[in-house]
Amino acid sequence: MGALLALALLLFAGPASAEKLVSTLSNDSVEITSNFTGSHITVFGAVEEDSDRFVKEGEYQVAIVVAGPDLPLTVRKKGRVAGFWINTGSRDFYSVPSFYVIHLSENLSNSASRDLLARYKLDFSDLGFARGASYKPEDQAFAAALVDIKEREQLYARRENAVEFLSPTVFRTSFGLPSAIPVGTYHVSVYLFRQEKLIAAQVQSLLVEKSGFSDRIARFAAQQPLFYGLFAVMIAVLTGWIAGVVFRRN
Amino acid sequence: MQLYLPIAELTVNIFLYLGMGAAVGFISGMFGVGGGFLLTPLLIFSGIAPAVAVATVTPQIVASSTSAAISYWRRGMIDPKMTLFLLFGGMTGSALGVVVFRMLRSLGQLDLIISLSYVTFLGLIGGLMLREALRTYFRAKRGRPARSGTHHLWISGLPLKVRFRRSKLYVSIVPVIGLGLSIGFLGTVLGIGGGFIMVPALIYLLRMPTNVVIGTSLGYILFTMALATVLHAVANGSVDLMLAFLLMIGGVIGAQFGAQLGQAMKGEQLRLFLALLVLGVAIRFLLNLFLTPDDLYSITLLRGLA
Repeated sequence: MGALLALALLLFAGPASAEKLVSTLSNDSVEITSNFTGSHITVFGAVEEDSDRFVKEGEYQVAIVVAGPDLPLTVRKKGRVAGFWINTGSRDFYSVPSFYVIHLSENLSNSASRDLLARYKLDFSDLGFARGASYKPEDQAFAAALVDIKEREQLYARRENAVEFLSPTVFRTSFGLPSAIPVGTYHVSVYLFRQEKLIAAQVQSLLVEKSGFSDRIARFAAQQPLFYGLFAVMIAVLTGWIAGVVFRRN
Repeated sequence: MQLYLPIAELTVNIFLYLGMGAAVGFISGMFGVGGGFLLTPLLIFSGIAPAVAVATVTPQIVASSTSAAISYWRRGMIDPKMTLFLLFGGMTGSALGVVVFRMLRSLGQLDLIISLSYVTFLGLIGGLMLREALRTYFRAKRGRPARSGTHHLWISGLPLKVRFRRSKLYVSIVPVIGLGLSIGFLGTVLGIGGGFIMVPALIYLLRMPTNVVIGTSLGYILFTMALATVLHAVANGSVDLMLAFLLMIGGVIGAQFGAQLGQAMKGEQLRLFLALLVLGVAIRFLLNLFLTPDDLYSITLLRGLA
């Protein structure tokens, strides 16, 4: 939320530039149905110029970030105690994006300065969850492990040279969403830079939700846990009973 | 074919879990055990979160014990009074189990306790079963009859004695309720029915006649696991109905074939195989505790804040 606010302020306070950024998502929502095996979302963008000025190839640099809802997480570390591997240490991180994929255009990947990456959170070390005032250096190891695990689950990724320019002013990129994607409201942020200076940005939301049968079951379990439990028992007894009847005849 | 599991929150292959249910059902039909002690570890090793695995196996045990319990009931092979007293303890144990389960989960030591308990109980029971099976096996080879055990004197000395007509027993209800309580507790925390502990306990501890032992144990398991399902759903919200249903379907089919093979095999052979199977699972858990894990770090959602 804070990041969004900062971005909004930045947009209004930013220098009046001649360019306008227009971008759109291939869909506004991702529905996780019973046969969901992952999905794709494509982001298209174009820079609108006021004048008919000639735009050099590679003049614009683009970064696109898809961020999932923040969640509080515990990272646990196993240690060896009397020969056994057990959880010995843990750190709580209170707002960790459940999903964070960064796509950069080629010219940005090559030249971007540390400062620019940090300011627009274009690197995992800049996400902020590991840099609270109370964190010590060893907490960095926990934060790094978290990013590592998320990357393996394909929930975090940083791809350089992933935004494709169709023309000097039109670009496109495609994000893969794995099947184990967390549900919630996502934010897709498009940043347009020229010579490492932000000239425009746009944020759009993307809704990832369970849908259809799987949604009904999840909601039943969350809203009516008692009846859900009873229902599960009923299904089980019925299945067992029917099986008994069917197989006794054979 | 892929299916999204709404509570486990991941997409899985239907046939993997149908097959897993069938394989465990086959074994449970063959040996006359519930199979929870195999199914829960299999689910955990396949990547389902331990909390979801344990909670989801409970309705599957309900399904697999229902059809068997009905047929035992018809043949009068269940002692209803004994079942009720066991259940009295079992319900308390189950409720206690869910509370402890929740506590361990928030402490981050649930996986450890599940592993340690599996190692301890399966190792112990498997070891005893193996010793017993080997003894009868060699005795049968030498042609000598099996020795009948001595009565446990300390149990006949306990107060609050009750007459159990169908079991032809006059015993104290203290060990009966205690047995129900401890197995209900273990079953809820570990995602097992506990039949493989209950059956020998009823035979060796209470000296129940063998013709009512399995039926009574099944009746007990059916009700404690039904309660455990509801409690897990309410307290932990971790029962995945889709996954449970896949396991049930596979399980009831596999059980039929297993039962046929089981009838064709000799009793002592069956017991030997079962003992080795139980020990195998215990060793697998033990290795997991000792071997260096692939990743030292793990992440979980911070409960109570989400």
